[in-house]
Amino acid sequence: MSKRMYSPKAMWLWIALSTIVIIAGVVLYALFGFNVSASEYRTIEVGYDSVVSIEKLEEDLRSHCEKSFASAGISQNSEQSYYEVDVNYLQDTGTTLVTYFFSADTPEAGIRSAVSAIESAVASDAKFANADVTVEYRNVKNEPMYEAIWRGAIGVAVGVVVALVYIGFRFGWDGAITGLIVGVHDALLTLALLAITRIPVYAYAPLLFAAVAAMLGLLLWMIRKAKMREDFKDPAYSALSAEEAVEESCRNSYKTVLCFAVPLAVALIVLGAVATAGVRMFMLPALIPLAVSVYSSLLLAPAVYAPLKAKFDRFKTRHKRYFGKKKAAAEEE
Amino acid sequence: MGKVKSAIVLTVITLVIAVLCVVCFVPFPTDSEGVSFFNPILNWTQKSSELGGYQYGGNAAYLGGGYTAVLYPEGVLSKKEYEANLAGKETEAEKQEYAEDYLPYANGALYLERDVACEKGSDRVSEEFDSGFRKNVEILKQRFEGLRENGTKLEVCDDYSVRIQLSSTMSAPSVALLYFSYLGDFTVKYGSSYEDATQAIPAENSDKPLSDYVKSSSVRTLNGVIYVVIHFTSEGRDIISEVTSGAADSAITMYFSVGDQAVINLSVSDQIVDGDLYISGSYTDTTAGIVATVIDSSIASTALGGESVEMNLGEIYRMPAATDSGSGLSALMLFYIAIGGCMLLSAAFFLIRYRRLGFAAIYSMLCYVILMVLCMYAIPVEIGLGTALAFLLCGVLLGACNAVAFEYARKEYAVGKTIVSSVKTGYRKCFWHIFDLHIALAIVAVLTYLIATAELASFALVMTLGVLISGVCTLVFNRFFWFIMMPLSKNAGKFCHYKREEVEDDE
Repeated sequence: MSKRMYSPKAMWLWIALSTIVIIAGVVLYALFGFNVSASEYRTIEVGYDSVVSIEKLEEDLRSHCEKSFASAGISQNSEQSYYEVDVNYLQDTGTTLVTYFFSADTPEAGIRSAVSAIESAVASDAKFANADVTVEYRNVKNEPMYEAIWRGAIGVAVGVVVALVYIGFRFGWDGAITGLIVGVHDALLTLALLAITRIPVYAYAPLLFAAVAAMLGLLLWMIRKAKMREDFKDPAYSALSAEEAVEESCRNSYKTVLCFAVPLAVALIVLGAVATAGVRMFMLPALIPLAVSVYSSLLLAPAVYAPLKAKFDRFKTRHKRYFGKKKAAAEEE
Repeated sequence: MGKVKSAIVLTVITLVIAVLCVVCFVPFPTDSEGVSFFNPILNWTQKSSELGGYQYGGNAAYLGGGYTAVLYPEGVLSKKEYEANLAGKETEAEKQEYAEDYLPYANGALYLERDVACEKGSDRVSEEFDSGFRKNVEILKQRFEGLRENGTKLEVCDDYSVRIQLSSTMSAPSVALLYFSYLGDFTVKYGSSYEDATQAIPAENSDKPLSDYVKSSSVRTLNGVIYVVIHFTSEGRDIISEVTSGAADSAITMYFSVGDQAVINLSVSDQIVDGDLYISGSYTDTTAGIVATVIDSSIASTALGGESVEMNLGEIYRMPAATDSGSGLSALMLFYIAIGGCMLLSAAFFLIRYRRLGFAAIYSMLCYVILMVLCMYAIPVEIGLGTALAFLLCGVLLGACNAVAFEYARKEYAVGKTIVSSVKTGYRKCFWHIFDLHIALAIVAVLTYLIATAELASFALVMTLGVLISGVCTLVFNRFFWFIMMPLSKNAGKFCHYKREEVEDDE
């Protein structure tokens, strides 16, 4: 890490960079929102009774559907089978519903023609003569639940502030203020990057990732601050300016940050690579809060902390001098 | 500790960990036919829909990750129901008449009854019906959100139907779907049957709003009995007292209704004089909560005024376990494989970097995983993607803290201290760093858990557990394992893969 990275100039550079990304994220969020999975989509629902299951015609039906999609020039994102249950005991009734999910921008004409094609294919297939097959087409819009969002945001904010009070007592208030800046910055930058990159995520994921970013940012900043606290006890550091001391201490502690971040990144990539698409859609975007917190703990936090430390050091010196003079005067008297 | 003692303790600990691993993770047949299986604790933990639902019974079958149902407003039919009704008409004239009564909507996905949903003499949906439906969506959202259950989703399909998705880990999902579909004004009636019952609240021929009679509804548990409590105002209490004044002589039934549906039928054999009416039944925490929520939101929505449309519950469907279309393996199995892979990578790192000392880290990692699974089963916590992330974060935190402790000891050993002194000094130097990290994270996680809901609350709960267990594992277990493993090697430096710093000879 070069000296320039933690100078006041560098601090403004990192702040400007983050601010630009956050503003871009806010604008894109206002225009398009997050690319929340299936916030709006279309479905074709193919329902069938137990005759289809008993005569093992599911594959034939699936094949009719897939051929119809191909002939209509549309392709589904995913499919899900649902089994009808009775209201009282939740036992299967024998009716199955296979839902094919399409993105909201799939042409309506294509969907309609696929529905007609499935209906005519089933009607003309003698194997389905005794079966009851229904085909329906739906436009679906997800209704976000806001209570979870505002309660979550308040929960994380309260948690971070109380943790920072603890950090303030243990590590000093300059460290706590830096931690607060890092926590807020990481949460906002994560949300901004999710809005900018338009990575598809689960509806609850943006809030969760913002919380993870705030926690990780705080954790990684504490790792660096703990190392600084240890280093600053060394008499060699007392001769250095705040900026130099921070720079000197940060020269080695970035390895500890990476020691935490790299295994976590590897774990997320392994999970994303090995697990199913649903898990991948959560684990790979989780790299964003990790990357953001690594960026802030390596670059932004020390750059913000250095001038804060300088100010707090000056304040402490003045404070000491003032009380020193007072003490001396009292002793003289 | 002596070599023999150390070997005995290590063997005992290894056996305990091995037994716990089997109990937690390994299913095995318990009879020769392979009919009965031992179900490990991990199988009994709740799983979210993304990871394939939950364990049903003892046959290791995973039921679906959730339940879904569509609610249709009064006057709206699904295509399936419309076609079934149409097919039921005997003559062509009846069919035509029936068809004329309905307007196909959204490409025939829904059928709207012209008299109910459309403007007179037009194919346009009436504003009254539209606003009534929007109001219903808001009420439903409020009710389902109030469940604070992971995986709850509400979607509007084709403008005029509502699809609800509930996690299968929720108890009584059908009760929630059925009761939450009851919409309309809250009323209290009394009489011998529901059809002939007389309305007591709000008083008939009175302009007073409902809030003058009833305040709210809640759930209370007293001496293990769960009650739905209805809080009346003094005016409401007087009416109830008057209505039940003759109950001692001849029992009456009170009907607490939302719209046209009675949510509570209460047989009264004594006069009710209290303002808070405690109603018991065969309620569980969840079902009592559902009934109280329905009454409460109905009271609130009645106070807001405006027309509301009744809703009918359509078919309920369950979702099966998620599978990977490529490999055919369940999402859960692949997830376990991935977690196992991560643990192997971590073990490989510790063994390469610290040689046999790596076993101390591996043992503490195993303790972490076992304790987490036991806690998640006992509390219980649903294993979902958010909780998996929290589990991973804390696992990595544990690994990183173990590595930090080893590195501090390595530095001490390098400058010439004995291994015992190096471990002591190393741990003393890094203790507060590790402690502060864990405490700060635990504070954030606990407060987030207390305030947040749904997935974030589950994440925060697992984070809290993980941070606490990670702290204990790294500061207590890891050091203890190191302490009992070290005497087994003659050369402690070699055991830990530590080296002394080379000192230059002045001569």
